[in-house]
Amino acid sequence: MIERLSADARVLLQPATTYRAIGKQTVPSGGAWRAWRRPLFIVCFIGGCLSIAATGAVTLRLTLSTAVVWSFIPLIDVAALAVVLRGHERRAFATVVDLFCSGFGAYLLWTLGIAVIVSCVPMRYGVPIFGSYVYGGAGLAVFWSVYIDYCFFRDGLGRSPIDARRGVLLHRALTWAPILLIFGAPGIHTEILEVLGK
Amino acid sequence: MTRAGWVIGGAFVGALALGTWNDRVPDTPRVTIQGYEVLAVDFHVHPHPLAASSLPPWDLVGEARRAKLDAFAVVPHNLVALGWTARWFSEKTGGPIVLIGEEVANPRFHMLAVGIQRTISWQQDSSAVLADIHAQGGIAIAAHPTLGFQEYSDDTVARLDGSEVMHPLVYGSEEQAAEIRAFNTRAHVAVIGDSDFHGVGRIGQCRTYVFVKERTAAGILEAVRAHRTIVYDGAHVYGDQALIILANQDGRLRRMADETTPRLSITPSGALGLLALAAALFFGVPADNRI
Repeated sequence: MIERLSADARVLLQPATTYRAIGKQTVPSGGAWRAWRRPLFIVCFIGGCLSIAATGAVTLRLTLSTAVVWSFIPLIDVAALAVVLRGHERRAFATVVDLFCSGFGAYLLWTLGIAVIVSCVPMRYGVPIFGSYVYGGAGLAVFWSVYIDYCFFRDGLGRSPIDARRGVLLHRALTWAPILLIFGAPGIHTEILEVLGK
Repeated sequence: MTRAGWVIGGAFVGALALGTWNDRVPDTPRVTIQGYEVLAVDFHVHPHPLAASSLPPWDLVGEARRAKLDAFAVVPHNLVALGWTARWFSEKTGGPIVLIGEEVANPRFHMLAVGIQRTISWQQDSSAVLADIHAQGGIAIAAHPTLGFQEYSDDTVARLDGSEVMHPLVYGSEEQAAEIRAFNTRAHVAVIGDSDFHGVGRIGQCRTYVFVKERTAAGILEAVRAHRTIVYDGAHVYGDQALIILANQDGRLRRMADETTPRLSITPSGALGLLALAAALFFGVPADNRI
């Protein structure tokens, strides 16, 4: 069954095995399209989900607009990847970007879940679970995506375990700070204080 | 592209076409009762970026028009920003009145500062925050004042301009609904209904009907200071008793409020879109990684 799933779903479910298999494939670089196709998929996915979460429908107006304003996420991720690799990769960067971006499944699934809860669950049931889902689900997605990224460096790029850990740490450090700042910098510290019991 | 890819892509394009076809802007009715113009206002709307929200200012304007709001306040956390962008865009496109503000988010209370120009520090007690808001000519509204967000002295409570009695949390917890309503009873301030919109759900799901003397931002602030507001929650109405009687005799506000009764927002376009997105994630690009 799992063989019939997409590369992204297989990376989500079996990151090490899948990255090992895909990483060994000898594929033509595919040029610019290979570099852009998964980042584009990610922003379109986010745009579609946010349009549904706001209106219950997929509209061109909201899908395009939110895809553009949320494109900072894959852009920052790819830029950070370029810094982490710094030319120490024999494969074309487009291929590496494509490989890396197939590991966004956990975040995309979480975003899809938000759209489902907000649009398909009656408010009397949706409101009480929404906060738990957003924070709990984000925690799970972050935890699992750290492992996925480790598998990307370890199995996809064939780095040593210590180099893979270093790659994940550096990439996270470079991406999280700007992403969190853009998302909600002025309120994050008070949110943390509230969670910590003030 | 595989056959599955074409089917999934086609489904998403179909959802997009359906959703876009039905994406119309309705007329916002103008209601005048006893010389007051009654405006539907949401005082608690967060923009993207910098405020943990998903929609940029121009989309907030678009959604507010579709929700038949006459006005809304852009209130990022601990920052006055982006409201100017929303206001500019709304004025250019004939949208609703945009009020500039901030949600002062202190771990012990959240206060909406509406009608201000400069950022107010959250690192001070509620009394000092309220004084800063009034010094800038704004109004202070206690945001979702459940027990965890009620660190207001009696003196501060007495100087507030309004407090939220309707908020989406009301739909999920009768206990918290009772808490925020008890706070309003204690405070004797204007009743406020807000959606605390972060880009998900419906903007204006909870809203305030403000009885203004003039249809301007200043007119809205003046009406809140004078407590000329009412808020609907299903069969219940909160607010100034004289205004409630006028509204009941008129009947239009009740019908308008009924349109915001909680319901599932999913449409055929959204359902098809959700299916297409899930299918794209799980069956989109083939596992052998061909293009």
